[in-house]
Amino acid sequence: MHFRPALGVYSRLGTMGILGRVVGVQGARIGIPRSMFHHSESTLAYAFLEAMGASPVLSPPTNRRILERGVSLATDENCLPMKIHLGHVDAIASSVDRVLVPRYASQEAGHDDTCVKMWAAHDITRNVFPDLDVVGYDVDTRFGSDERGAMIRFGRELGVSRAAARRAWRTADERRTSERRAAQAEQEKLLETDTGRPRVLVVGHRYILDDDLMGRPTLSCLGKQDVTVLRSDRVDIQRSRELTKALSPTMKWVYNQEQVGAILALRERIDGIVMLVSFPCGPDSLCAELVQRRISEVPVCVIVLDELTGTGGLHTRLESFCDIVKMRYVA
Amino acid sequence: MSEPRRVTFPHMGDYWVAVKSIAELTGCEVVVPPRITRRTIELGALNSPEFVCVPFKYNLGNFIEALDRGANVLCQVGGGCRFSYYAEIQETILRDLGYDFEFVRFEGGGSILEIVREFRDKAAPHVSMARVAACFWHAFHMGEAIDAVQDFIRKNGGFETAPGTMRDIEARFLHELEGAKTRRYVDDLLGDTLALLRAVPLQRPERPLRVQVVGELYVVMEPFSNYRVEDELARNGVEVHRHLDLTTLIRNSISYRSHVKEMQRHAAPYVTYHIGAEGTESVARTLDALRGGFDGAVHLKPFGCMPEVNAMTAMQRISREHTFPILFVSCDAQAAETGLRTRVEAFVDMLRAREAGLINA
Repeated sequence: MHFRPALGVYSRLGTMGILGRVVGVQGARIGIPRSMFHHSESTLAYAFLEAMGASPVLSPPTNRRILERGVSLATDENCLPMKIHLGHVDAIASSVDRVLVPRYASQEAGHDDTCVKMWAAHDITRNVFPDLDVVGYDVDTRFGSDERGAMIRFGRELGVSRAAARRAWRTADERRTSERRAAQAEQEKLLETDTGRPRVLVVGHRYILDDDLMGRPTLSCLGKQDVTVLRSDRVDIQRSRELTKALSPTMKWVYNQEQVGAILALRERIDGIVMLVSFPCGPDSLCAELVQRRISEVPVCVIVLDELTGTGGLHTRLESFCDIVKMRYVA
Repeated sequence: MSEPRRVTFPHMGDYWVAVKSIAELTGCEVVVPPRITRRTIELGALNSPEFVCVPFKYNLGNFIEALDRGANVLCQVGGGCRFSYYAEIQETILRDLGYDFEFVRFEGGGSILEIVREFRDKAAPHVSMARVAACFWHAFHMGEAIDAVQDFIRKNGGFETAPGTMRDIEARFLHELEGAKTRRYVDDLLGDTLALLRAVPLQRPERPLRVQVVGELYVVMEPFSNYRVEDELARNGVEVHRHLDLTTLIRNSISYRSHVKEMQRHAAPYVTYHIGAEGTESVARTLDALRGGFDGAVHLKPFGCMPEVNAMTAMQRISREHTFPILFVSCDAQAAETGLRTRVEAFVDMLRAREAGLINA
């Protein structure tokens, strides 16, 4: 049986070199699924590969075909984002040399980590597409592998020099930071200027809010309701996480800390909360319960997303929720 | 609280006997929750979030039933997945229901050594550390005795000439174990029980079907939640093997890191990275069963269990590539014993047909 290192960065590139296949990063077509980590870490991986001279190929925005492929490929109890992820991999599999699916387990020291789906995304992809060359890097600070180190090692395995990989990481990281800051500043400006309308905070994982099939219908429907739409991912992440720890010390999922923290940071400035939860998301099943039980001063609407794409029911619920919010706002 | 402290904890299999002894020996009054029934899970499901995994619902049901019987100190531990967040949400739900209680959460980071210390600090501050450690050690020993007896029954119960004899012996054993105060008593009782079990007449085929049970710890260890699938397999004449039991789990938690790495080695090449909680272990044990010449595996998990759904993708690939039969069972709050019985019978029939060379796939 082929031996693979148990931990740390793994890629099959090494063995490919022995087999005589051309190994080199220049122009290598590396696919990036437009799902999960692509949204949660913004454009980090894309910018990193680009800066090293590779040709990253991003899968198209989620559409029904991607969803249908994902649903048929995935084990049926997987969460909706995982199904969509597999649909994205399928969409680019034939047009790239390899597909990048990194593992984000824990980014900062301490016990805080991500949902175990994120831990397994790499292996799930490999097992669903056994013939596809799936590469990745492992971000798990509990086992001594931070994001920067893991990505630089990954760059080295792709065949670039350490210095070039470092430079590429810095470029990519700066781009991620500036994008996040810009989004936060935009929302802050919206909070200051757009007054006289009720404000609705949409809470959800980045990979749900940014997705064309999961988050977009809700955001665009709310956009037509004469309310100011705010997003939980456009709030200062560090502050959000600290606020969450005060309310719920044992919640350890960083993405959920960000979401609950956004509610806490804005609780006096918002008039309604729409929570987008995918079925059957593990962390959200408990965190949505916490929000519903602990946040009583603002109306909360929890919307559970599944693979049905009809938007009629969604619009009715959002419209009636906005009516409640507006009535309370006037009163 | 001016009332006396009455401690309770959620059920899992028959381990309440051991857990109860820790609390009693350290001088706490204990309220053992009533045995799990339909009512337990209905109470739990009624008050739980909609798609939380089913152990949460059982635990909550146990707590409600124990609170109704006068318990006022609830104990809960945590683990590597959603389990780590159970305690806080359960406490919130129970307070919203209007109960008055003290909630003791053992974080422990998955390590039993930490839990011992925390137990002393939070539940028995008047008792010396050495005494608490001794009580845990005694309880661990009781757990080992329970595991040894039940392991024997799993492997042999399917071949009894008078079905049910072993379960009767087990019931007497558990009843007597409840009064065990010393290690010697436990050892003697275990010796006697195993002797009784070995004396049960068996009609064992030369090469019986062997099935490995893998999966999520709670539904694997709590027979009520898995519709007694192990008994069902035994009834169909299968030798049931299982790696996961409470004492093994505790041993693994002490050497967590090296255990995870070992499991990753066993699970290669289907798992590169640890996929959470017992997920990697499920894949590893399935591969072990395949290499060890087992006839099949049964995978148990609560509906939507994150680590085990991760493991399923790898296990499905193993099953496909090596034509290794695996029965996947998803457990939730509904009663589905008849459906499961049919599935187990069909699974065992298929194993027999394979064994006899009637089907090749």
